Amino acid sequence: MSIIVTSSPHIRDHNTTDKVMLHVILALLPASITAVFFFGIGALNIIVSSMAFAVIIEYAINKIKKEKTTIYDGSAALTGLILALCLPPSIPIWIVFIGNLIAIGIAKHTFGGLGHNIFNPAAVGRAFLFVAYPVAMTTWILPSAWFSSTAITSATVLAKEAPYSATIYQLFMGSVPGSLGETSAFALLLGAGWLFYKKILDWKIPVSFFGTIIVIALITQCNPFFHLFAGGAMLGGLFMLTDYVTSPVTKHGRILFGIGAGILTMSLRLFSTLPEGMNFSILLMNIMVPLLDNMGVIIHLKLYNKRYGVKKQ
Amino acid sequence: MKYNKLFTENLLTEQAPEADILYIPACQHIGAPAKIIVKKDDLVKVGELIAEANGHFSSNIHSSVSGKVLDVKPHIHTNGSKVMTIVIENDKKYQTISAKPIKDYKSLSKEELIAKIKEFGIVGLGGATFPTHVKLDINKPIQEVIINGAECEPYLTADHRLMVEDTKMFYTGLEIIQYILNPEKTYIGVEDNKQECIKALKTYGINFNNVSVCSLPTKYPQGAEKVLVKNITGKYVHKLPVDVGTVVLNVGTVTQIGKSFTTGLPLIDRIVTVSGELLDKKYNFRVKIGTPFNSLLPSMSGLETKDYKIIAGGPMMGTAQYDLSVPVLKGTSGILVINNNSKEEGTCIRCGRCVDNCPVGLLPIAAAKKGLQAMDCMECGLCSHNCPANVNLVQRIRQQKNKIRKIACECKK
Repeated sequence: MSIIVTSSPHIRDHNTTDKVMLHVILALLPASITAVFFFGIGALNIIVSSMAFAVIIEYAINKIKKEKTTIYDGSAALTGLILALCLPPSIPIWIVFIGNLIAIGIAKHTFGGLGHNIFNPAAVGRAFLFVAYPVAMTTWILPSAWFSSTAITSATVLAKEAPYSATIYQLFMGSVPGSLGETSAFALLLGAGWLFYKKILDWKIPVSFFGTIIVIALITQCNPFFHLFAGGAMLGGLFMLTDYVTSPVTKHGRILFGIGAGILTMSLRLFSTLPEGMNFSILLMNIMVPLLDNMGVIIHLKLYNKRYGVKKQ
Repeated sequence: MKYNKLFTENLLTEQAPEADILYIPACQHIGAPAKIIVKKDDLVKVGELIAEANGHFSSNIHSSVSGKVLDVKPHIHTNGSKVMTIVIENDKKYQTISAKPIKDYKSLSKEELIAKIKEFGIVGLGGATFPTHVKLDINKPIQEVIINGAECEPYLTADHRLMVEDTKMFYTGLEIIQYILNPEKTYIGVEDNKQECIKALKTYGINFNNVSVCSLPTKYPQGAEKVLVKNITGKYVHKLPVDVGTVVLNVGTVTQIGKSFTTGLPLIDRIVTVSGELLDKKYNFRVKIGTPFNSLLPSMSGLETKDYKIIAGGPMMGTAQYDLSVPVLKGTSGILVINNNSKEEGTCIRCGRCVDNCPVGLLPIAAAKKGLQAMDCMECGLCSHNCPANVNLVQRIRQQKNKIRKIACECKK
């Protein structure tokens, strides 16, 4: 039809934003399957309806703001999925809806949608629910309650004076009480391995985050594996801290980001009344991203100038 | 990245179809445009000087055919602007000037050899078209000479064919380069997807001292000067390789030096890859400089219903053309007809892929937004290529560069 003229390059990678989001959703599939396996068909209900709510809310906001429909990039579905995975199995569906309303409506779209949000939407949604519905958000059930209508309430392994203890193997496989997707470290690592292979996940944040947790656990004489596999550390470290939009762009910024999140998580776990510090450490680190990026640029310039022998003007 | 070299890498170089009218611009190199010394209705021969170098940082331009000068007027250049161009009508007789081959180059001094190279109008044939005599005119000892045969741009196979078919001429040129620069070591860098070339170069180079053929991983932009020097010698180059005692020359340039010294004829033709998924027939053509694109793209069928791009050079760094009367220049390594892959620019999702993949270790997103270190960018295009949101990073960095240049200009005033 016609000759097109643009600036170079004239060929583009096939890895577009929607494909990246799709791969992350795929990577969370093992964790979703284990959730259904351990917590029954109710888990599937929560996951599917959360994703549907997220997409519907995104679409409605697009219509209200009279902008282009952005549901096809997959970011809304992903937020819904991650939010579902960090909710307890016995959560009522209407609370899931409110969580998504906060996540997509407040955390994402008041800042301008994908690419502009300061906070991880799923983390904001969960934090809101945690504060607004503390009882529903801390009612845990024992796993393997296959299709049983009566949930056996329990506490997580991270609770202070926990009545429930679990072996490291149980924690690794996921047969412990906890949020839907966060119990099985194995399933999450499997998904993260896929993302590594696809070069979507960068090693810097998970490695620095888990490294910091291990170091602090060793200093305070806790079992480091316990702190890695219990609670939301795996889900948070592999899928929430590494959220592109709310983590630093610079290499050194990302390492500092992981270290900071590790320190915050461990301090909240060990020295606060909260049983779990992952959620709030993600949000606190999200605020610091611009600062960390500035520091990252300064470190980058110093190293670059040294390496290339650039003299200051 | 899809390299798509199979289209043409096994096709022998053939003579390009003759063009009736040739357009030879006075500016085909980095530096000052050459001074045109012919006028309308002059008769010229093959190899005759038609525009002479304007100062040291410039290059001579010769006629590639014999015939009548039809006009001297502004004509479209591959960079998209209009520049003064000598239009020559090809009489197809190819009367050649009396060439004086240089049989014994060792009887000449280095300065004389460099002057000869300037006379032949030789510039860097890899695409950057830096005048070769300027590159060779150095007053400091050189540790390494690196010959760039990486040809990392997808589709292009011009250097590939040259290394296989013209190996002897290449080594003739290399001897001259070694004589001028007297380096401690000479490396020839070739990407490992061109085993045929590595084999040919190794077989021929067996009699040469201090020459080693390096097989480099196939990873764009392996052939970028800074990347090549880093990967072969481990040295980091900030501005020019000569700062760290290294000279990088393209295989095409070296072969052209060998050829010009043996035949006595200046740079009047080059190998051009004519390729792309939208072309039925693909070629490696030996093209006379100044041949317009339309005479090299005979059959463009099935394009009536499609959006497509015509590119001078490779798909990563080449420029899209809008007028097919644009001529092949000294730096045109390929003509590609490919699908239009441009998409609407999305929002940056801060994935950091541009930062992780930048071959010279910049922060492309910061360079595009704030111009941070923008002048160090070599515009290889990898960041734009990898961007999942299709942000036109390179285009933005170019805009930042222009801004910085403008400010620098105003400061000087």
